[in-house]
Amino acid sequence: MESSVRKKLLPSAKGKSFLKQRWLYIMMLLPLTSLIIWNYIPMYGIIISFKDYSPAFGILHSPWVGFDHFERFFNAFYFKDVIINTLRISLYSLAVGVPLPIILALMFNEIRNKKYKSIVQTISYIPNFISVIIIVGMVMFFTSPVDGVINAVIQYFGGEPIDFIGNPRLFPHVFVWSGIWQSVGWGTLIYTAAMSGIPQDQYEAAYIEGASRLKCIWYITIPAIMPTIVICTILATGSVMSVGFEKVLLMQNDANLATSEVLSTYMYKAGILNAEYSFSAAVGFFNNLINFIVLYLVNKFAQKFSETSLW
Amino acid sequence: MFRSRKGKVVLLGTLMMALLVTGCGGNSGGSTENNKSSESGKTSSSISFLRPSWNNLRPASKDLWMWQEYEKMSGVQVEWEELSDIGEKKNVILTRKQLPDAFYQVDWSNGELLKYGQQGLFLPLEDLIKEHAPNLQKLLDENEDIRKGLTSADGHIYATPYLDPYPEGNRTIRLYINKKWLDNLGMEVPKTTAELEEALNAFVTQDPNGNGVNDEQGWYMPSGSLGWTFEQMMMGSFGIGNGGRKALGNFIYVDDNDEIQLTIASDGYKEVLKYENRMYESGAINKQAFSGVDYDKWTADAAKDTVGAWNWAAPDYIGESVKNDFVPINVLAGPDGDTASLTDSQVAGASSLVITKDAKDPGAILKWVDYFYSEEGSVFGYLGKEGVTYNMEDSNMVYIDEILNYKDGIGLGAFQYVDNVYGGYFPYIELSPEIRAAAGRQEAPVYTDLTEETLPGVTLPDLPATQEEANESSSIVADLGNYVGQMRVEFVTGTKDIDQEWDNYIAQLKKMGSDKYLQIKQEQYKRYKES
Repeated sequence: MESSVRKKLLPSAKGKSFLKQRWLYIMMLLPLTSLIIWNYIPMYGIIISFKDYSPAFGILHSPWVGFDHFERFFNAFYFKDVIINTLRISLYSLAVGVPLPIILALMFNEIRNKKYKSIVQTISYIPNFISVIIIVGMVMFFTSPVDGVINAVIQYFGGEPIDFIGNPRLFPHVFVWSGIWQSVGWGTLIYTAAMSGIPQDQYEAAYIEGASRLKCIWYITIPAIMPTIVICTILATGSVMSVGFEKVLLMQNDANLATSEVLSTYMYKAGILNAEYSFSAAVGFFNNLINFIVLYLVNKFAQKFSETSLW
Repeated sequence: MFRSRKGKVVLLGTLMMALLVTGCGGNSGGSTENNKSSESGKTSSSISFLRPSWNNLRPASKDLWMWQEYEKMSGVQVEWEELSDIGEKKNVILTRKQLPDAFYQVDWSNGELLKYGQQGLFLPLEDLIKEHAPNLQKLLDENEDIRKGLTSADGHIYATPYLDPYPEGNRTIRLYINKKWLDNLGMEVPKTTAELEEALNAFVTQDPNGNGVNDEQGWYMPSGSLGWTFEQMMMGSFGIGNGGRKALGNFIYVDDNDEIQLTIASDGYKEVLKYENRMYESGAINKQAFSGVDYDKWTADAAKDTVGAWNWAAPDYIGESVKNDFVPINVLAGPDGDTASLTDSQVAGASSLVITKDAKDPGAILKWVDYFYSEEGSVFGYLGKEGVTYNMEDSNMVYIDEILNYKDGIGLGAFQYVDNVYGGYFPYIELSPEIRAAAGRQEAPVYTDLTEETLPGVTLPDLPATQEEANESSSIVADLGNYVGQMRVEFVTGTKDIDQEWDNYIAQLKKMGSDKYLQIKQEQYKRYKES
């Protein structure tokens, strides 16, 4: 309906509508300028991934080397491992991290006692405010095979202590679930907000018709928050190759390196520690290219199969 | 009315744009102005240094007694810029428009020195040294190893060194073993790898601290230390330790035919791994050797008398309360009787002072630093001045009482006054262990097991690499280091069987380019010997 109104206004009213909304356009100038200055202009730096960058010559005057850095990355011994590790952790995070906040939000929504509900919600998202280094410290502390709480429980029930953080097979689990513990409560907020916008009379009508609570969730709540779910999922998949860098680096050690070396840590070691800026810019470029392609494909998919999409 | 309001808003919009644009322009203008003013403010007697920060432990450099005193003595004013985590930042700093005059105590690899030297960021110093630094020049003339260790592959010298002529000092990493526990169990200090294994196994099973709880650890250090401490020391015992610490750190050793070989691909290394694996399985090497223990946890555990053995250059590292429980072992004879201590080259740091292209008066900087390559300068760097920070006692130089009674130990006490206390890669020549010990009214430890025979036959510096070699080997070394680190964990903890997997392991090393790397190192060694 809205679009038909707009159509009526066009094209004769084009100039008029611009005049009418000039305040908005002028207001937009400021964020736009900031975006251009901070996000678009620095992008020219990406050219160093095709150059042999040295601080002595600067970005513009370093010699060109074509695709050398990309070739080196694709031929690197660890290329396959790093990609697989990155995908393993990020897909795992997606698979768990997307549905869990939705489920939790649905559960919150069914709590009738207002006071109790807000207390539980607050408790659930407090971990989000703890800095990642503290989280990792806590994980190390709880999972220590010598004096950790979790292993104390395991040993109490007669089990062998498990070295969670030093075992490459367990690393993705520890990483993903500690992340869930931290962020699941915060993730529910956006869904809770979406749910609060659902008109209560729909539930009342369903109740009078004799629908059970589960049916209400299934036929009213979920369809109502579906657009939010789709948008959140698309945005989450857009960063499929980007795994939280600090946390991985903090949890990394020689013992779990086989599964914990991901693109971002690999880039950090090559780029910052070994000062190979061009090489790590190439790796980063590749990383973002994949992210963008995935985002584009998922969005296309969403366009085709649902009414919501990013663009 | 309406028009004027619109006019105002448009004006506001353009103003904001203008502000943003001039904001940027103004900023850069301001900073260049700043540079200019500081430039003009800098007379020839003012130089700027960038260095790592120790300000969590002691006063900032500009407030440190030593540097205030040296400013008076030399007439040169130093502007110190101090940064923490400098290892990550140093390369980024090179992108600054205006570099500091010199990097002080910043570690650059010889590949980096050569690269930035040839690109003109760092100045070649050999002629300037001749002219302005007689003390350092004398060392270069008299000691071939120092000259060779400092000279880049292009024949230039890009840095002044941290020199330590004494293998009895911080150059050697030793094994410290708990003498109290040995005495409690009636055991001798181990002389061989087998005896060490026996002692550590006894430590973890026979309750040597006598508290009735099985809380004793054998070899125990912060996670991740094993590979570059204990393991490298054991390389000496298993016949692959000749070449010194820097060589072992680069995965190479010098074999009996004076040829470079790879430690990590040798049969000796296989035996080292098996030895470590046995001890790990029995608990003689701590189960958290690879993850989960940081320095704080380790020292806390040590204070509870639970540490059996560990490696370092000096016993203080484990903490004041228990350091006297431990006795040092420099070498252990291996199964074939091999011994070689884990000793570094006397050119312990090859990039202690690097002068950049933006230095106004490089000669003055060299003159400034040359003092510390004299005996007087060494004493000044470590002890300070007689009557101020030390006094003479029976012909010994001894710190003043404020330092001796400092709450966190003598070392940190001295660090409140002077800089060169911890052998931390200062441009400087180290004092003898006897003088250093006497400064704290102590006696230097006497090592009967550190002799001409047990020292490595050669102690190499970082072998000078050409630009091409550095480019080629840096990615190979990074991959090798990664892979060996991973495999060490799997072999030592026993998730992979050493005998079964060894051929696989060697094949992987070759895939990563270990042969090419070995060839590069062999050529570098040949050049090094001829230089």
